[in-house]
Order: sequence, then C-alpha cells, then structure tokens
Amino acid sequence: MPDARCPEPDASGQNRGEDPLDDPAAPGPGQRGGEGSSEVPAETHDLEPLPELPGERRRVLALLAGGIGAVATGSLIVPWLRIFFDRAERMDSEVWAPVGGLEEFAIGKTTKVTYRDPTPLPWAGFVAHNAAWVRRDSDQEFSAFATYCTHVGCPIRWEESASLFLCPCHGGAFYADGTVAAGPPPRPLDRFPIRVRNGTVELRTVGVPDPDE
Amino acid sequence: MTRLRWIALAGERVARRVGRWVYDRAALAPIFDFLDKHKVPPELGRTRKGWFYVFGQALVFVFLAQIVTGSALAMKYIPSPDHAWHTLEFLNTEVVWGGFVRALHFFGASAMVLLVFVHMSRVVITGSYKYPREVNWITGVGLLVLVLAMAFTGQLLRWDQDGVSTVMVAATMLGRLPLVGERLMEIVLAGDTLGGATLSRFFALHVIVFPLLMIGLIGVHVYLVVRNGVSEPPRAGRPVDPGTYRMWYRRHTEAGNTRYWPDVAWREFVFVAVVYAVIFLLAVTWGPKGPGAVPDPTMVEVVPRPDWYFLWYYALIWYKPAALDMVVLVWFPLLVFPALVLLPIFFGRGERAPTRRPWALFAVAATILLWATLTVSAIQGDWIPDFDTEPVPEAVLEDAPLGVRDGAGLFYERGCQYCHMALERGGTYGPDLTRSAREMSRSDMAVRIVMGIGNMPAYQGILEPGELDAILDYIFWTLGPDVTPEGD
Ligand code: FES
Repeated sequence: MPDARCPEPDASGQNRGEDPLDDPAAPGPGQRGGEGSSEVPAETHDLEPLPELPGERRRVLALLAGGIGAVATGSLIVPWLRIFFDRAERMDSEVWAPVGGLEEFAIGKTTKVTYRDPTPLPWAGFVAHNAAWVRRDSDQEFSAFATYCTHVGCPIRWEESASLFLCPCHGGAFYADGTVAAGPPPRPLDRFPIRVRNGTVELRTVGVPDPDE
Repeated sequence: MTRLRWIALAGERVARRVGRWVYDRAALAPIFDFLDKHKVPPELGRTRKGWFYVFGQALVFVFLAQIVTGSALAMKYIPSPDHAWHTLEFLNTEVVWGGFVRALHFFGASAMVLLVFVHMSRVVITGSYKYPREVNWITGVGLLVLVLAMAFTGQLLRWDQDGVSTVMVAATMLGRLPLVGERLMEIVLAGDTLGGATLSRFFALHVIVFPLLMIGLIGVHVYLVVRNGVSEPPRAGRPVDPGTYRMWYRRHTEAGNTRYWPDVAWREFVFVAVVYAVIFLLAVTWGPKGPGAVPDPTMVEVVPRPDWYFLWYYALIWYKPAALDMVVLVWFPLLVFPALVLLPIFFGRGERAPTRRPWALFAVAATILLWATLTVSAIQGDWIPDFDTEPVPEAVLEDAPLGVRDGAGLFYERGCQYCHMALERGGTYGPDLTRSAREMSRSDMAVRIVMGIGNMPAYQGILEPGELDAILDYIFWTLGPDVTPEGD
C-alpha cells in the first residue's frame, strides 16, 4: 500500500507542521489494522513533537474558514429564496376579460362563464382557464362570483331550481346574491368586478379573490 | 476435476483479496466493529417487548422503497400543468409495470404515514422522548411534518380534479391566516392564481427538497439513536434521573450482553418483510390510485376529497363550531407542532412507565379515537348534499292527491332532497323530514322552511306562492294515511 506510506519529512518546518502524519503521537495509518503496518518508516516516530500553532492564529483561521462557509451558504440560500418567493404569474388588475354578449344572459339568471387568465404562462394549458358565476341582476347590472367557497375553497355549484350555491365539501350554501345561507362559510362569496361595454359583458380577473376587496 | 478445483480455489483467493481490499480501503472496519459490538437493552433481544421497537427501522426501509419507486416514476412524469395528468395515465396504461410502481408508491406513502404515527405512539407510551433523547424526539417531529408534507404534495402531483382542488384548498386556508395569509397564498400558487408555475414548485418540493431534508433528519435521528442508545422498556418505579441515567444505562446494556446485530435486528427485518409484503399485496390487488377526472378549473361539478390521511382534517373543519373557525384552521396546526417540540423540554424526566403516566396512554388512545371517528364521518360525509338523489318515482305517488304530487316534484327540484330524506330518499345533511313530521307541527315546519334555522337556508325568496303548501303536503303525506301528526 504505497499511498499509506508516510511522506518524506519536508525541509521546511511549516510544511511539516501541517501534515498530521508527522505527529509522532498519532498512530500511523498502518497501525489502525489492515495490512502493511510494518511498512511505516521508522523515522517518523523519532521526531520530536511539534508545538501547536499559536492559539490566536488558530482562532483567526477558524473564523476565516467559518466565515467563508457562512458567506458561501448565504450566497446560495439567498437566490434560492428569491426564486422560491417569486410570483411567476401576476395578474394585471387593469385587464378586463370578455365573458359573453349581453344577450347571452337572461335577467335574474345565474350562468357559469369561463375566461382565460389575462397573462398566463405559455405552458399553463388548461389551468389558465377559469370560471365565474355571473348573475344578471337587471338590464345593465351584473354580479360576478368566484367559484370557490369562502370556507376553504372547494368549487361551488349553482343549483338553478333551488336558487342556491351549494358547496360539496362541508355543505356550505349561499343565496343567489352570494350571502351565506348555511354551513361553515364565514363570509359571502367573493365577487369580481364586472361591467358591460358595447354589449359585451366583461370581468376583471383578480386571481383568487382577495377577501378584503 | 482437478482443473475445476483449481479454478474454484483461485476464484476464492481472488474473492478474498478483493474483499480484504474493499474492507481496508472503504474503511469498513469501524462499521463491522460497531455492528459486532453495539449493545442494546437486553429486554429488546430477550423478551417479546422487542416487537414494539421495530417501527423506526420499518420507516427507514419504506422510505428507501419510496425513493426507488418515486425515482422510477419521475422518469415518466412531466410536471407541466398540461401534461402531468396524461403522463400518469400513460404510466397506468402504456408503461409495463408503470401502474404497479405507482401503486407501490401510493401504498408505500400510506405505510409511511401510518408507521410514523405508530412509531410516535410507541415513543409517547414508553416515554422514550425523555432525557437524554429530547433531540431524537425533536428530529422525529420534524420528520413527522415532512412525511405529512410529502403525503400532501404527493396527492397534489396526481394533478387530477382532486389534486387541483387540494392546491386551491391549501391556498385558501393559508389565505385566511392573519397578516401573512395573502402572501403565503401567493407563494403556494406561485402567483395570484393557479397557473403554469404552480405544479413545478410542488414537484421540486416533493422530489428534491423534502426528500433531501428527510435524509438529513433521518441521519441525525438514527445517529442519535445509536449514540444515546435505544431507550430501554420502562419499568414503574424506575424514573429517569438526568444525574445518573447515562451511567445506569451503560451498566444496564453492558450487563445485559444483548447485541443489536442480530439479536434484535432480526425482529426489525421480519417486520420490514411483513410491511413490504403488505404493500406489495395491496399494490397488486388495488392497483394504482387515480388519476381521477382530468383536472379543469372551470369544472365545478366535482366533489373534492383528500386522500385518506387527510380525511380527518377535512371532517374536522366541518365539525368545529363556527366560532372556532380560526382556532381549527389557523391556531391548531400552528400550535400543535411547536407544542410537540416542547414536550420533552417540559416533561423530560421522571417516570417513563405507562402505568405511571396514564395521561400518555390516554392521549394516544384519544388521538386514535378522534382520528378514527373523524375519518369515518368524513367517509360517510353526512353533511355533503346528495347531488345524485333521484326524484320519487311516479309509482309511489300513484294514489296521492295532486298537491302532494306537485310537492314531491318541488321537494326534489327546490333542493330539499339534497339534504333531507323523505320516504327514505335524499341526503343526510338535515333531518329526515318524514321523521320530523311525526314530531313537529305543520306550522312549525313551515316557519323553519321560510325563515331558515341553523344550517337550513331561508326559502323565503326562493319558493313561489303556493309551493310551500305543496311541499308541506308532500312531507306530511309521507307519514302514511293512518298517522295523525302530533300537535296538529
Ligand atoms: S369548503 Fe365549502 S363548506 Fe367547506
């Protein structure tokens, strides 16, 4: 085992000090068992023990190494966090999505409309599509409700003949105007801004609606 | 013959040399040495109590199996919102053994969740989290969180209708946290809404980040089990005293002369074999789980449901009184884990025997009972409107008066039947109205329908004139001709 043989002691004392194999107090590698313990050159055992590096210097060196480690870790964690917290998709709050012509909505009726997120990532596919419940309150007045229950966000469905929104998760129910009719939901259905422009009904999509709006 | 013998001998010599070389250069000596010498409390090897100490090892092995099956699945899975579902379907139908490996991964995950709780229960019952094993317990709590996080993200990667709903539910729940809620919601969704970046993030967490953290924590956990020693089965009247425990433990294991390998390890490996066998059997008989319906956020006619490991929570958020909304949704999850972490800090010494710590037995029993009750009730889902209920068949109404026939139609149409039974038909959210009619006057019931009560919506603005009477006619007709309602 040639690689286990102790190197020749160097002429410069410093170099020697950095090599733990020069420390005669430590057992040679061959003595830890295995083959070839007899191959350890006798001369390493004849050396006088070297003095330790000065304590001050060791402290500085430890600080240096630790500091490098900390900086290196930080310089990797920070970009990681930056990417993790990145909001890949932002809704442009000024964009109105057309959801149908005025004539498609009967007064007093609630209809499901679908729209495409205004600025989806190109590969978003079907998840860029979304739905909302739109109710025509009067000739020109509309309400638009999110399809997510305000309890914990299950999809709610409109039951036309019962005039109720029903939630399949914990039996939440909402009246036609979005107020809570029954069950655990804590607040009325979230609403989207909605308007009529040139005979087209338009919805402003705000992602998952902000409860405070 | 001699030639063969010669080859065999030469082969043996080479094998020996290679073996010795690896043993030396890979520095296997300390490991073999350790396995050869490591002593454990004698009770584990010499009494049947050893069977209670096999769950941790089983978790390590199921985790390894999850890495194997998971990495195989990752070779086919595409974490794109448009493709994920299709790649799973592809695995199920086209890839040889694809469905089987998916099934193994699912039942392996189930085993992880189950075993984590069994392991934890054992540790609580035997008080093993006490001195000097506090950090064992704390890393264990970290692993519990990670196992649950893996279960959650795994269910989401299935990316079917349930998976997508799961993201929305998680986001909405976080959105309800005070102050940071909205921001957290954006982090979960990677944007304002479910979008192209949402799935990739969960894929990265499930496949890279969480497993790496788990490997790290498992390393620390196992290291500490080795360093601190497996906790000895407790005995009443032998409390843990930090001043003397370590010394006592060393003497106990020294004198016990029972070694880990193989005196105790054989039990672990037998148990691992049983667990593997069960996972394989389940995978073969049940096949892969899902994917369910193609996900589509514009589809609202779905009944989302978490996998079995989260059904209890799904039921819990229904059972809580409205006033406890924030407590259950926010403070409970936020406080349970810190409380678990602090457990050994505050109760780190003293008696470990379950007979002296009845509260520990009680806590475990109560948790299991609560979990089972909630899970069963979530499976029954009594509070879920019965969207598939059918109208009363004509034949039943053959000789009913006209008003009753109208009422029966309205009872179905107006949604009464989603939540109420009449004639044994309908939902179970509200009371069975045939039964209620026996105990309640017609006018009382009318008031409840019109004004609403509790979880009953007010039908005031919904019913047309005359419809209320028709519905009541029907409900009271279902009592049968001979019954006169009380109090009428
Ligand atoms: S999510 Fe709708 S009632 Fe719970």
